[in-house]
Amino acid sequence: MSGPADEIIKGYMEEVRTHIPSLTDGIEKLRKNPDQKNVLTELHRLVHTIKGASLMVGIPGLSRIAQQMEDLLGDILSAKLKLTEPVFRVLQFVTGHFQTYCDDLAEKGVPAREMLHKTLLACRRLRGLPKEEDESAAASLLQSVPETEGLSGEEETGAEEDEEIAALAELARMEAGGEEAEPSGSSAASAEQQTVEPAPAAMPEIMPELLESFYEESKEHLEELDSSLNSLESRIAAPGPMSPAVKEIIRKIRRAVHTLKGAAAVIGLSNISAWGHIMEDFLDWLYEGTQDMGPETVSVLMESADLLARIVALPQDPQRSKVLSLQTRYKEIMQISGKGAVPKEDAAAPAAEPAEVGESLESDDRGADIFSRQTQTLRVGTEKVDELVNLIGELMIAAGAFDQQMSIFAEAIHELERSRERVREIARNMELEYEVRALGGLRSRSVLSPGAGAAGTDASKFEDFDSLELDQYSELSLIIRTLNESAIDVSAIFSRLSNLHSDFDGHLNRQRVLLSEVQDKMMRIRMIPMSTLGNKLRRTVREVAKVLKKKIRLVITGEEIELDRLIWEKITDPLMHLLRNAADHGIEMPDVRKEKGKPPMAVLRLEASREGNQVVIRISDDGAGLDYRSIRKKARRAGLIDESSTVTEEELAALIFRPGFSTRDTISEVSGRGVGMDVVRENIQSLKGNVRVQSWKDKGTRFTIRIPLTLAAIRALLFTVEGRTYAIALNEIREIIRADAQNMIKIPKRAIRVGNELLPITCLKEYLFPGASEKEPCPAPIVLVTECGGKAEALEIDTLLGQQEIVIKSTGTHLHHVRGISGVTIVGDGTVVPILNIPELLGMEAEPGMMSAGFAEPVSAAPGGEAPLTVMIVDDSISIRQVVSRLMEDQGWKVQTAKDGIEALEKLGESRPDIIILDIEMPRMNGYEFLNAMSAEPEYRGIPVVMLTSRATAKHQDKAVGLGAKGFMVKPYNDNEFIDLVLKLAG
Amino acid sequence: MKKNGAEKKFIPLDELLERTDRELGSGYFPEKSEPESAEELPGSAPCIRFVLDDILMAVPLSTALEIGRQPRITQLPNLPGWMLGVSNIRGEIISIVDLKAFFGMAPPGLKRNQRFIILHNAEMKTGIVVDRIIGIYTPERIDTGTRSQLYRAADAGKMAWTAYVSGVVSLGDTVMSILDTDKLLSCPRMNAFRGE
Repeated sequence: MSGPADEIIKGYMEEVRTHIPSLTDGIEKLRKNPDQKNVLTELHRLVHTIKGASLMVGIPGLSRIAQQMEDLLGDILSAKLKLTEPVFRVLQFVTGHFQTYCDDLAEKGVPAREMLHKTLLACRRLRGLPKEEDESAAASLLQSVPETEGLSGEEETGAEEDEEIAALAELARMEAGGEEAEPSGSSAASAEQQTVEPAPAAMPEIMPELLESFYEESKEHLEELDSSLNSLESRIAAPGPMSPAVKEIIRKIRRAVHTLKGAAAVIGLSNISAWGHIMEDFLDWLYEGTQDMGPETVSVLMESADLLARIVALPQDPQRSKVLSLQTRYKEIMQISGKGAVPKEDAAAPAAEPAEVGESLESDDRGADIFSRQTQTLRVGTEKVDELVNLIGELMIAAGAFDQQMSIFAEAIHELERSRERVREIARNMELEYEVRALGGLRSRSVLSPGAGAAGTDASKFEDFDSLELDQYSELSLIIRTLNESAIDVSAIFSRLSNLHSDFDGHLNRQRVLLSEVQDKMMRIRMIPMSTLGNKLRRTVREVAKVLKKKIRLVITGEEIELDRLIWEKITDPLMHLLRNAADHGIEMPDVRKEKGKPPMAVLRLEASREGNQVVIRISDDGAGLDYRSIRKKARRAGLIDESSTVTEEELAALIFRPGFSTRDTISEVSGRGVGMDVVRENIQSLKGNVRVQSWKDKGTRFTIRIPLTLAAIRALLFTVEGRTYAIALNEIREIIRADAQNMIKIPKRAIRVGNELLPITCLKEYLFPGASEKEPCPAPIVLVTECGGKAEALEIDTLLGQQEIVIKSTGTHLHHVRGISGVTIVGDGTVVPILNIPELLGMEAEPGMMSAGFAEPVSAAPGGEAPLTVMIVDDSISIRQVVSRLMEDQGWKVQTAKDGIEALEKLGESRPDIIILDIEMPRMNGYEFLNAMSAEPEYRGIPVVMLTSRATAKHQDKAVGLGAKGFMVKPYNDNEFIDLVLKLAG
Repeated sequence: MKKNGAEKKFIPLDELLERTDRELGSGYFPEKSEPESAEELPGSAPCIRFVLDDILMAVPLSTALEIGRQPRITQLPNLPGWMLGVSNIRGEIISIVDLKAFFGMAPPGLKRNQRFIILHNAEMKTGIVVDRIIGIYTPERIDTGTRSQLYRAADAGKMAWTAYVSGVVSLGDTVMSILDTDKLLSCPRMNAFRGE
C-alpha cells in the first residue's frame, strides 16, 4: 500500500475510533431508556457514516459490518423491532468489531470475513429473517469481502480488487433496490451513490434549448475526444513510459470528459455525469498517478469514450453493465502498474465533490470554456448558407457583366481621345490656314471674310496698323478660337473620364477581390474536412473488428481534404459500408494471417486526395482479396454469367455491385445482405461519381471512389467551337498553346509537342458536333492542353474568350446526366454555356469492369419516327435473350430472337430487323462468323449490329468493328446506355 | 393549316401570354377533370391549342407553366436530335424538346417563329417547341370514342404521336387532339437521361 492511501486509512480509523465512545454511550443510554428516539437516530447516523466512509476509503469489511448494524437500527427505528437485551448485545458486539478494526487494521490485519459472517447471522436472527436464506445472503456478501483486511502485500492487491468489485456490486444493488437514499448520509457515500444512480424513469424536465446546446457542445467534445484518442492510439504502440506529448493528450482527453461531465451535471443528465466522473477518475490517475501506459489502456479509453458517446446519445440508459465492466478494467490496469493504492486517493478526493459536479474544482475554467465556445459558434440552417452561396454566385455574375460594360466604357474613352485629337487637329489646321491667308492678303480677306460688317467697321479704325502689329479678329477667327477651346474642354473631359475609369477600375478590382474572398469564405462554410468523418469511421472499424475478433488498424490519410457537407453526408454510409465489408470479407482472422506470413494486425487504409476537379477516395485493405471463385459460383447460380463463358476477373469484380449479390451464405450482423454494395454504387452515382474495385489475391482489395467537385463556383476558361461558347474548369487546363509549324506535326496524325510529350490533337468539334461537315483543318489552331486523372489531352478550339468565374448549374430536372458535360453555367448576358467534362466527352471515362465500354460512336441525327424498332437478339443463352427482350419490349419495340448465327441468318431471310444484337460466342456459328456471313449479303449490309458480350478487351472489339459491327455493349450493361446505343444506331 | 372557322383567328402572342398568365394565376381552371365521358360537363379543363405540322393539338392548361417565343437554346453534346438543348428561362435551366422531331414528323431543327410551351409533371419540366400557339380553349365535349376510332394503337411512323393522345375534340371540319402531358413526359424515350 502506498503512502498517501495509508495515511488516509490511518486518519479514517482515528475518526472511527472517536465514534466508538459515542456508540457505546448511545447503547448504554438506550438500555436505560429505550424510548430516546433522538439517541437512536444519532446511532443510526453514526453507523451509516461508518458504512459509507469505509467503502470510500476501501475497507469493505468494515462497511459491510456497519451495514448490518445500520439495517438493524433501521428496523428498530421503523418500529419493526423492539429494543431488547439481545439487540443491545449484538449492538455492543458490532461496536466491538469496530474497535477491533481501529486497533488491528494497520498492524495485524482483521479477519474481516469471519467477523462479517458472525455479524450477519446475529443481525438476521434478530431481524427475524428466515434461516434458510442465511447461506445465500452470506455467500454473496462474504464474497465481496476479503478474508482479512489491512495487511499489505499481494493479498492486499487481491483484496483491493475484490473490494472494488464488491463496491460496485453493492452500488448496483442499491440502485436496483432504489430504497436507499439518505440525504443525511456522509457526503462521500451519497456522492458515490449518485454517481451511478440511474436517471429516474422519466427524464427530468430539461429545457429543450438547454438540451440542444448541450448536444451541440457534446458533439464537439466527443469529436475532440475521439481525435485525441486516435492520436494517442498512433503514439502508443507498446507499453512504456509516457512522453510529455502523451501526457498532454491525456490532459486534453480529461479536459473534454470533465467539461462534458460538468455540462451534463448542470442540466441534469445524471447518467452522463456519472460515467464521466468514473472516467475522469481513471484519467486523473493516468495523468498524475502513473508513468507508464500501454495499448491496453488506450483501448480501454476508447471503449470508455464510445460508451460515453452512447450514453450521451441515450441518456436514459445508464448502461450499467458496461460501466461496471469498464470500471473493473480500470482497476485492473491501475493494479498492473503496481500502484493499486493510488486510485484510492482519487476515490477519496472526489468524495469531497458533491452532487453538483458542475461546481467542482475546475468549474471556473470550464465555465469560461463554455462561454467562449458559445460565442464562437452560430447555428445557421444549411439552406440559409446555400442561399448566400447562390447569391454570391449571382453577384459574381453581375460583376462579370460589369466587367464587360467597363471595357465598353474604356473603348468609349479611347474613342473620345481620338475625336479630341481630331478636333484639335482641325482647329490647328484652320488656325494656321487662316493666319497664312490673313498675312497674305489681309485687306482683301477682311473684306471677304464673312460677317465682316461689324468687324470691318472695327477694323477700319486700326487701318494704320500692320496685321503683324495688331491681331484682328474676324468671326472666323472667333470660331477657330471656340473650336480650340472646345478641343481643350474635350481634352479636360477626356482626362476626367479616364481618371474616373481608372478609379472605377480600381474600385471594381477591389470589389472583385473582396467578392472572391467572400465567396471563398462562403464556400469554406459549407466545406468540411474529412477529419470530421474520420472519428465515426474509426469507431465503426473498431466496433466491427471487435465483433469479428479481428485485429484491424485504420489508417486515414488526407483528412484535410474538404468537400461539401452534403457530399460527406451522402458518402458516409458508402464509406462505412466499404470499411465494414473490408473488415468482414477482406481481412482474414489473425491466425489465418499468420499462416500467410502477414502481420496479425491488418491495415485498412482510407486515403483521400484531390486529382484535378475530382476527389479520389481509396479504401484498401491488405486482406485476402476478392474471392473470385465464390463470386463466379454465385453469379452462375444467379444466372448472371453463363456456365460456358469465361469471365474475366474484372467483370466478376463488377458483379459485386449488383443488387442482391452476396457471396455470403449467412447474413451476419456486419454484412452479407448483398444490399450494401448496390447502395454504395447508387449513392456514389447520385453524386455523379463512380466507384471501381481492384483486387489482388492475398494482397488485398482496393475500392476507388471518384467524386467530381461540384463547387457552386469555379474559375473556368471560356472558348468557342463553331461559334458556340463552352467552358472548361481552369484547374483542368495545363497549358494553352498556339500550334505552329515548330511544335506541330501533321502526318500521319495531327499532334502537338508539349514539353517532352507528343499529344495527338483532338478536334473538339468532332465530339461536339458529330457529323458536321469536315473542313480544312486550321493550320495553326489554338490548343488547350488539359489534364484530368493523370491523362493529358490536346484539344483544338476555335477562339479563346478568356477566363471567368462561373457558377455551375445542373442541366435541369429533365436532363439529369448528359454525357460529356459536367453542368452548365449562365454567363453575364444570360446565355447558357455548357461546362465540358473532357474525359467523359472523349469517352475515356468508360472504365473496364465498371460500366459498359461505351463505343465512341458519334450521335447521329434524330432517330426516325416513332415506328417501333424491330430488334433481333442473337444469343445462345436463353436468359440473356429473355432479359434483353424484356428490356427492348419495354421500349415498345418488336423483338425477334435467335439462338445462334445460323438461326439468325434464317430469320433474316424472313424479315429484316432494324438492329441486331449479337453475342460473340455461340455454338454452330459464332458472332464473328455471322458478321462475315451478313456482310456477304448486300441486302443485309445496312442493318446495324451491336455486339453484346462479356468480352471487354480491345481485341474483341476491334475484331468486331473490323467485321462491320457498329456498337459494342459489355455485359453487365446499363439499361439506359444500352437503349441509348440502340436508339443511336437504329435511328 | 386547314381552314377552321372562327377558331382559326390569330391571337397576338402578347395578348395570349397575358391571358395565359391570368388564367394560370387565377386558379380559374378546375383540377384536371378526366376527359372521358365529359359529355356536357361544364368543367372541362381548358387547354392550350397549338399546331404541329398543320395538326391541331392541345395540352391541358394545368400542365403548362409558361408559353413564349422561341428562347435561346444552347446545344449540348451526346443528345438525340430532338433534344434541342437547354435554355435559360428566367434563371432556370430547362430542356427544350423539338416535339415534331420527337414525334418523327420532321427532322430536328428550329424554324423561325416557333413557340415553346413549358410543360411539367411531378418530376420534371421541359419545354416543347411547336409551330404555332393558337390560344386557350375549353372544350365542351371530349370524345374518347372518336379517339379510338381515329387512332389505332398500331399507328406507326408519322402517326406515332397518336399514342400520346388522351382525347379528341371535334371542331366542325377538323379535330383537336389533346395530348396526355404526363404520358409524354414520363415515356422512356423522354427519360433516357435520368439515370446515372
